[in-house]
Amino acid sequence: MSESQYCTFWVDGLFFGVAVSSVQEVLRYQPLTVVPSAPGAIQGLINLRGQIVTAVDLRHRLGLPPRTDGALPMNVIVRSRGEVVSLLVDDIGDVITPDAAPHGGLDLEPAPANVPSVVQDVVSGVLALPDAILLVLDADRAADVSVAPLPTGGTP
Amino acid sequence: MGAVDDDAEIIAEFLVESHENLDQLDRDLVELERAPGSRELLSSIFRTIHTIKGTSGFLAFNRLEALTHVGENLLSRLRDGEMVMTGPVTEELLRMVDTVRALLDSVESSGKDTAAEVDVETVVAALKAVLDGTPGGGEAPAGVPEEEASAATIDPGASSPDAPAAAVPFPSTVPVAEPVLAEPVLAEPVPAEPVLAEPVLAETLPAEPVPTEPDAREDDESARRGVVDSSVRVDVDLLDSLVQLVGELVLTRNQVLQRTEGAADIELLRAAQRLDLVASELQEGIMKTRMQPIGQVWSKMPRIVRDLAVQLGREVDLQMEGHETELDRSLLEALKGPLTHLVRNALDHGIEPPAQRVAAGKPAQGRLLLRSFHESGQVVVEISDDGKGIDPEVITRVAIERNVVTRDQASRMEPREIVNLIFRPGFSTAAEVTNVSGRGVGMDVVRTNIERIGGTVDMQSQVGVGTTCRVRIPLTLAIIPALVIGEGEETYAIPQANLVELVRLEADDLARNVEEIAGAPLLRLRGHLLPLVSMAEVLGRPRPDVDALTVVVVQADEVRFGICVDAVHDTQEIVVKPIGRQLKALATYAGATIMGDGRVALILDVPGIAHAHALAQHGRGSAQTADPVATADASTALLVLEVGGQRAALPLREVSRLEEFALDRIETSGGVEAVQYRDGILPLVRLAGAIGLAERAREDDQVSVVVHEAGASRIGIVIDRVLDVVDVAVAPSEVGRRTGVLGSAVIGDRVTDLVDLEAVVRHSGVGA
Repeated sequence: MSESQYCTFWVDGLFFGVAVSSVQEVLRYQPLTVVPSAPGAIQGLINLRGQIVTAVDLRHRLGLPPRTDGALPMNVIVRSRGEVVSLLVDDIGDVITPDAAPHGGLDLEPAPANVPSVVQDVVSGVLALPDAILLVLDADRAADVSVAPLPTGGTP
Repeated sequence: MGAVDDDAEIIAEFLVESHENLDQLDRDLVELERAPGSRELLSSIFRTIHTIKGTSGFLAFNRLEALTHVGENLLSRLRDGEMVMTGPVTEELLRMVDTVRALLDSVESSGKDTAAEVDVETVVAALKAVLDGTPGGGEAPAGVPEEEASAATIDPGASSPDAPAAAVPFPSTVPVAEPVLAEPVLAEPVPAEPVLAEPVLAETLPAEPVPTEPDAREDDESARRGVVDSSVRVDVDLLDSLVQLVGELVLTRNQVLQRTEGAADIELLRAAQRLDLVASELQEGIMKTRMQPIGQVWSKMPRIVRDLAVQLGREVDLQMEGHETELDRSLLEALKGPLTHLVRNALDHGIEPPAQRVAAGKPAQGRLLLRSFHESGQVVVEISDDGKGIDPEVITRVAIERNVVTRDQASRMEPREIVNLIFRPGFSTAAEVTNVSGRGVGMDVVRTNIERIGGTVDMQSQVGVGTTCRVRIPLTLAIIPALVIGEGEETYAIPQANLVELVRLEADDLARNVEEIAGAPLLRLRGHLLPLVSMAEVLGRPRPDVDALTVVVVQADEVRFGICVDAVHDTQEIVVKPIGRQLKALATYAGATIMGDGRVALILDVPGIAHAHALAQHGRGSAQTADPVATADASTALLVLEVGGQRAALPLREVSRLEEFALDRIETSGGVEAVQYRDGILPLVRLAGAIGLAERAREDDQVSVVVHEAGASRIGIVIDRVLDVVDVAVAPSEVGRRTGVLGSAVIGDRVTDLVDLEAVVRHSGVGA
């Protein structure tokens, strides 16, 4: 049921993991092109070797305070619904394999009820590792940032 | 001219296809010799020959048809197990393939299959001998005709020319039935050189076809490159990836050019220039490989039209012009569906049944004209019929019934706008389902599909005369020229297709030519008023104060407006890249691209901006109510009224009250009409007269009056009636400008005079 390997990262002290199968790569800070009038969580667009990738700031997405000045986010590039999306995170952790020793046989549990709903929204469950609690991120849901569609529909 | 071209095209296609098939056939036949029982191989060979036979019959290549017909018979027997594949049989079949090839060459060089040096008759005779001498089992007479029948149903196009040809050779082959004897002869023929086949072989093999064959082919190769040699089939995916790569190359080229600009190294500059040139040519070339003539879509139309005409009981003369008009493959692909739908629609709802046409004094046969041509960097496709046209009244009724528009909206629409209501979602017809159109796949889908590829569609119709539907689409989407502009630190691209001109205004010019009407900036440009939108507004930021303006005049659909930008950089070829789903809903952007410095730049969607800022006329109804944010800055509250039977509007803030007075309350004092109003006298001005319109008598004994207050004094403006209060950004034009009228604008989809209240009051002489 649970994925065998997770790419982990931190966002405002929260320890997240996303299935390695959905991660394309991890990059340092990339220059961003802002998209005026885009939803707040859309930090901008990056040029990933000629492909244009939308960068979603997980802090904003999770309703967390913005990064302090000077701290540059890292890019976790994930594949989501046929597109490539960059999740902006604070710091990158290791790739962990919870099923192997020393953790062995952990099951994905539903997120505890007192976790804020905005976090629950993007998390498919938690893994209680011996030394930390891993929030398992659903990349698709994290990358879904709603734009109230303009009813003018002028885009061809 | 069209027909000849058609044939030539069909023949060329036939040749390419047949040659390919024959190469496959060679391999199959050799393979078959090793695995004589393979029905799969036999079926494949049979199909190939059958296809060639069918097409040659269709194209009236009679010798080719006769030859392939006999071959087909032989193959069908082999396939059905009535005969067994042997060396001599393979030999004969291979010879048939060679002869077919020779005939095809002759078709290619002369357009005919009558070349005397190709000896078809001996080969046919040899094949027949194989057939005759090695008859199948007792079921042969039943089996073969059955084959023929099933073949006819597989390929209906070939069935009619098939029939007469089939009648001739068949009787001669079918009755020959000596089942028991034949088997052993066939089973052991390879070493024994069976007596039956031998004489025929000896006769034909060294004779005409084989020796002449190689000679002819050598001549071919040295003398000319035929259709087959000069074209290659390429996988579409490969082409797409080439386009991608060229896109990357163009970007890199831009990058290199930017870096080398002003560089001291002459050699580097030279190399960069060369790179520029080569990249441009490569790009052009690659783009050309993706261009295909629209004839590919046209070629399917005669059949569709014929079938529909029969089905619907119409008589239709289909004419097509502009087969050679080329456009990008992906666009062509995307265009197929909508065009087919429009053609169906023309037949179903346009062209009337013959009786009805005759009754209307038209020829019984309706005319359907498909035209395509290039116009200002776009491809235009027109579908015209001379049918009954679209009755705006019917459309209005249906549109109101189906809640597409309100009665009120409809009453304000021009006939042409009404006709185009059929493209609105929800209009299409569940009630009038016919087998042909109106299956819920409505015209709105047609429009959506066309707009998705950056095109537009417009319907024009005259009741009783006909309908023309005009589709405009760009030539290609992948790489487009664009104007790169700067806004603060950011860079944006505006597609050149939308670009009209650039205007720079400074100091005096700025003051003189840019005016604000109720907060909406307008530029006077050669006698026209051009609405202005600043980039800041486009991007959802407050409009800055500036002392100079750079205006990019753009055109989207029917709307022309100016976008004020900080800086204009240059024009570039940009590669349009899609943007993520999170941003698709933003009307402002059409996509993104990568600039020379490797940064991402957004491509502005000019029609989208026009809509979002309520500059576009159609779709206004929803824009004004549902999108208050976008219109709040630039919009004006207007009182729309009727005066002298015409529509006029004045700013709502000039209106203090609306009143109705009984006619008999109007008194005259010194030639001025007035009423007693709120303990004072309210002088009245007849607006109709003041703006040069004829007064209209009211049926009831009332007058509608707009009370306007200026300082301490009041004045009453007499109008016919109040229509509406709207909150819109108007795009005024000078049309209709005269005393008391500033000009006109389209409000609520109707042309409306904009009343210059100040002038009306001034000229009225009542001194407000």
